[in-house]
Amino acid sequence: MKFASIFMVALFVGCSSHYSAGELAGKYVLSVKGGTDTIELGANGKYVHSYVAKSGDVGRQEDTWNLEELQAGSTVVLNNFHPLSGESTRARDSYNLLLVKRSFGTYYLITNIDLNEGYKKQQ
Amino acid sequence: MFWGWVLGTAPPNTVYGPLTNQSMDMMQSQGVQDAIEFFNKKNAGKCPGEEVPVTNYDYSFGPMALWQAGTNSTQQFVGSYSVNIYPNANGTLDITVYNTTSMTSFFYGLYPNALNPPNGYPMGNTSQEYLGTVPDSIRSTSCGCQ
Repeated sequence: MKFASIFMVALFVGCSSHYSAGELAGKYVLSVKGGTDTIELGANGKYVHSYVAKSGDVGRQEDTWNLEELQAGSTVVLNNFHPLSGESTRARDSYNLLLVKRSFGTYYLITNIDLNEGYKKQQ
Repeated sequence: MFWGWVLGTAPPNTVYGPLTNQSMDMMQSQGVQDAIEFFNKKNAGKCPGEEVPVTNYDYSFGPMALWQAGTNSTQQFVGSYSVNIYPNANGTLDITVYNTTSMTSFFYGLYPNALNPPNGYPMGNTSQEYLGTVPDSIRSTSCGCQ
């Protein structure tokens, strides 16, 4: 089934981009079923991950981040990332990877590569 | 799998165990090998029990991946995917490959996610998880632990 879209693939490859850590710094927000998830990438290499549940509960963690060039493209690596209370991912510290995409001038940190879903950078 | 998605008969989520042909196909994929290499690089020098998981390692299905998938029908169907790697205390790695089959993925991101039909409709979203375990014996770690 993938052969049918080979020309579109070629189009995307031609448009693939690389990003700098400086331009990615900022606040990214993802609305999820139970609340709002936020990641702030600092220009100093630190990130703050927070989660505000609809119930009002707030969780927060911070550590360091860096940018790496991987097969899928420029990827933000969040070191010692762990899901906060209320988030529905498997709860262990990890290197959590978020592919960077840009669409119509807005940056996204992708959580689902198939659906192009993820954190949206706030202006 | 493909026709189940086209006709809307595919379930919302399917989990393929480690002994299924589908999971074995995906464990041999380039994306999983790349993710293991990334995991080993990040955990170089750490012993089992100290290693840190890697989550959401993305593999993008482009012309090179198409060539690498060859005639493997599972990899052709899956296209792009994400890999999670969880280390165990005995040195083995639990691996999960996540994929969502959707109009967005079929058209390589050109089709808006907001317009994807829900599961149960023709070409509606359906996701798969492929599970596998990598034995300690075939990993190329450098921790030197006993």
